Amino acid sequence: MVTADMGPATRASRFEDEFPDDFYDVGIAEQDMVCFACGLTVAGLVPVVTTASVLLVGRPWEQVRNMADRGGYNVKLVATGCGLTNTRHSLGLTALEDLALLSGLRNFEVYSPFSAGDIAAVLARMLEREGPTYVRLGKYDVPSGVGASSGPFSPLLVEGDGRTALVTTGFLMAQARRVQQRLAADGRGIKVVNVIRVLPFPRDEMLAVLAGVDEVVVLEDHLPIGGLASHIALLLAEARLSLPFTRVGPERLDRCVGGLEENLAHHGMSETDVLARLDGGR
Amino acid sequence: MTRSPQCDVSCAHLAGLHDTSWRLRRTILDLAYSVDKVHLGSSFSSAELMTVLYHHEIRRDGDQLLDYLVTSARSVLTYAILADLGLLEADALTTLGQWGTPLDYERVPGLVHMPFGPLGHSLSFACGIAQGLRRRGRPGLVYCLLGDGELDEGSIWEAAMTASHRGLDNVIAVVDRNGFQLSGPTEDVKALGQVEGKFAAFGWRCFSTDGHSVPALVDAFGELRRATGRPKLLVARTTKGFGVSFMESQRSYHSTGIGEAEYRAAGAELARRAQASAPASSGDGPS
Repeated sequence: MVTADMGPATRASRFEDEFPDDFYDVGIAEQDMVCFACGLTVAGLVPVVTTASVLLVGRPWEQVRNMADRGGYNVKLVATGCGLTNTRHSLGLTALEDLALLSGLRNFEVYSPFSAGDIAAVLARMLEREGPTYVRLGKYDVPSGVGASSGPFSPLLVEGDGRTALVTTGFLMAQARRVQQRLAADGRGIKVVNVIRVLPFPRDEMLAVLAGVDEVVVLEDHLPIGGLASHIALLLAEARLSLPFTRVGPERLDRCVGGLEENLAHHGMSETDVLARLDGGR
Repeated sequence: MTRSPQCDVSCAHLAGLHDTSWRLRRTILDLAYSVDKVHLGSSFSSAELMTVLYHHEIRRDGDQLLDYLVTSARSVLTYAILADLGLLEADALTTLGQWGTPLDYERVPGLVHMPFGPLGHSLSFACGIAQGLRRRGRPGLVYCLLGDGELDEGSIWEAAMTASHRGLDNVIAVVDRNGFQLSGPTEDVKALGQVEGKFAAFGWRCFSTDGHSVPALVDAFGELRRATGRPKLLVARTTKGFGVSFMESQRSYHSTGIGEAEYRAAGAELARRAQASAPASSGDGPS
């Protein structure tokens, strides 16, 4: 485990308590952290590197690009407090662009799980594969549940059915489920899709899920370009699928200091907001 | 050239190292003329340094290098040395810069441990390898070749602190102190000053030597290897473009191709100076 003075904040210190000889804190030096971890792999170790996303792939992005990815080293980057879950904190560590930063890197796989079961499945997969991997985690009440870990790993978790697909990733699955339940109470079913592996984007799997759907709504806590919505929009365009498409998410790096629900409301992502955007906002 | 006073190294071996360093300069010159622009200035300043590292210092078992040398730069010189050692196909050098070349500046596991390119990554990377070797109880030294201009990068100093904090005495950093970087003299761009003093303040054991003297380099590396307890630094005082007078300390030869007139003049001077500086027993090749 490698971190940059973020052991207590990421709970990596629990690993340190149990495995002190395998815990490396390089101090507040994120560029050093990434390259140091790449070096550990040369000696045959499998480093898990953890800190806040902005400090993991933002500040040392050039090291992530030119060392971790170009070198194809077997490093595992696990980011905490991603997206809008970095609540009651400064904007400085609010990561709304991490997926864009990693888009197009040739060796990385990028995961964004939701439930405890899915997180466990993703971490197991992360350690099994040989190559750089990024896992996007948030600070929220993680529900139990097996999800994608219930069978062979699937990059998508699909729940329910209907003519509307509400596609999301990470902790926003909770919000998507609430919307689904509200509609179900009115007798309407929708398909909720949680994208667990974001990159490489699961194009074929997503096309299969969208077959027979009349509308796609994407709920994401990421900036518009390079996030989940732009991957889906590109997929629809290239597949010549003419479907109504709505994106619900932050437009720019801007948030109010407060709790998660207040942040979601600020960005027009509350349960009521999402419901209002269905059916093209009619 | 006399027998190195502190090392058990034969005169023939030292002479062979001398010959190899000048042969590598000639190879680099050929590539600058025939293939594409190359980093002539720093390749020439670090020719003895890299020759002593690869041909003398780094232990080998057949095709396996038992120690590690990492660097962000010196790509073409590294390729030339690996080809000279028979670890890369010699013909590959002529494909530099061409579509499909195997020398694509990416890593080659076991030989080139990190991608070439932007500066400032190699010392952290070296520390990671050194820490990993120690954790696994494996031997091996990790050499890290740095340009002096590269020391502008803040990440170098992040790594310098990590190395000393962790007492990584299996890390040996080598600075090619040629006094120049892309834009001009290091002291004009951002005054670097006394490199040894800076690293010493970070907790390193520091040495310096004439980077164009093969016996001095062999001695210095011997001393570095024997020193324990702290990471170690060698500042090799060199001249950028060393070997061709009209290229020496000239910014324009930092990275460039050359025309026929320069090529012929430079080739003739390299031959003269190689011979003039050769020890009596030169010509045997490194043993």
